[in-house]
Amino acid sequence: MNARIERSRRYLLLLLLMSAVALAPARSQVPEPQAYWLGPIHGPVPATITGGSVVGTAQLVHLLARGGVVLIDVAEAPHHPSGLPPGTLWLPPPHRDIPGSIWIPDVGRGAISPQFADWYQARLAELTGGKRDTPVVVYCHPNCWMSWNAAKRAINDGYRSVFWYPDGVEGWQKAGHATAIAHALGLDAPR
Amino acid sequence: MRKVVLAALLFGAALLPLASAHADSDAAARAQRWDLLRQSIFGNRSLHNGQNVLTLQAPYRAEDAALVPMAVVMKGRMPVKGLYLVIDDNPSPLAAHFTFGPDADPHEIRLRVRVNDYTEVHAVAEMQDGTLYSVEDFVKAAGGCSAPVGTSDAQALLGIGEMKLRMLGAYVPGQPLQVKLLIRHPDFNGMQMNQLTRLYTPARFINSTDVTYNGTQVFHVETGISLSSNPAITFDFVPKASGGLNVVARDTDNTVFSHTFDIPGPNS
Repeated sequence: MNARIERSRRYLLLLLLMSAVALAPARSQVPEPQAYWLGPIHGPVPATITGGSVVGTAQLVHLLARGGVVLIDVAEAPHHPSGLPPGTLWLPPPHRDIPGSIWIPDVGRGAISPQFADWYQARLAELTGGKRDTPVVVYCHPNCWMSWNAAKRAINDGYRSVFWYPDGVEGWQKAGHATAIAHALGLDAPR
Repeated sequence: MRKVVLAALLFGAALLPLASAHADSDAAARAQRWDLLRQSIFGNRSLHNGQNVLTLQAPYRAEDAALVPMAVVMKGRMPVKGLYLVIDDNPSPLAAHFTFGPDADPHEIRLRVRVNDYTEVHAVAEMQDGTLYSVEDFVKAAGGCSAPVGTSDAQALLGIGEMKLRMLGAYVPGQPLQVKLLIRHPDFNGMQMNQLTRLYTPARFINSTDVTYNGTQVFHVETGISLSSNPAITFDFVPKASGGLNVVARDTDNTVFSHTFDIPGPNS
């Protein structure tokens, strides 16, 4: 009887292992850029970020539950187009992101001015109370380089516990988690 | 600024354990959004359930957020005077407003739109008596509004205003004929950043198109930045033994593009 249970247990384990291999998502082949990604912000992203960790939704939930995390959303804010005819309906919807996030648009662009980079560093210092070991999670959308760049900037600024959440707000929603309306920080910051 | 960050942080920290309790539900937010849009577009006019009047066919998950195909089939008995297509969560949500003329056969309209986020899409038909009927569908796509048009602005402008017309059915005089009109135009929406200069390309897009057959109006359509580059519009009209389908498109730079297609043409 025990041997039979043992056998079926082993069989089950094997089955689980096999399905885990089969279900493992294909790892991205995109290499990490030397410094920051300067190309189009939408496109395939790497599977890694040197100096930091990549987190999935389950790990993020776990991290947030532990508390003491600085959660930064770097999704872009809609740019009011120049050249719209008068009377055009321009009504961007409120931006929604993971509850508790600080929304800082544009700090994940490939090339940013030194003063804007300084401004971002100052915000990080404020948000973490200057403690470089504070967990910092950075995200935006899937296949968006903004979060990779912004997380890399935090790593290069000396933060030792930087997490990159590449699934972004859509990944969060897809897993059934709620979102909340966000208010952008730093739209008037020196660019 | 320091205070704002601190407040945001405190607020965030307070919110975290209660995230699900505080975050308003998606459904409520979507309903609220549509309420705001319908007020902005239709004022206080009432919108009726349009499930017996029109059908909106949108892909549930779009492959290319900058080119999402939409089809509206009008199946009501009353003649349709106008048609609105609204992409709720786009920053400029009104994609197209059609007004049909006497030579139209407002049976089906197909076009392609940009989708910036997971969004509801609304199609609203206006009847001859002014009654409005509305249907909606949900699309999962993201990033279509800032997706660059091509490798460079100059390249995107090549062949601007060129037009093609494809027959999608057999030409029988007196019978409705479905055609697809293609207009070459980058339709810069003003939200795309030039990767080299890091500047936003100013908006320039076709905002009005008139189609006439032998001088009688088929439709007039006003389009916004939610429409995809290189507009492709499928519509029906009733051709006669011979005639010409004339298209006049104007863009926001006041450039006018015009072409007349012989029906039946050399390829039909």
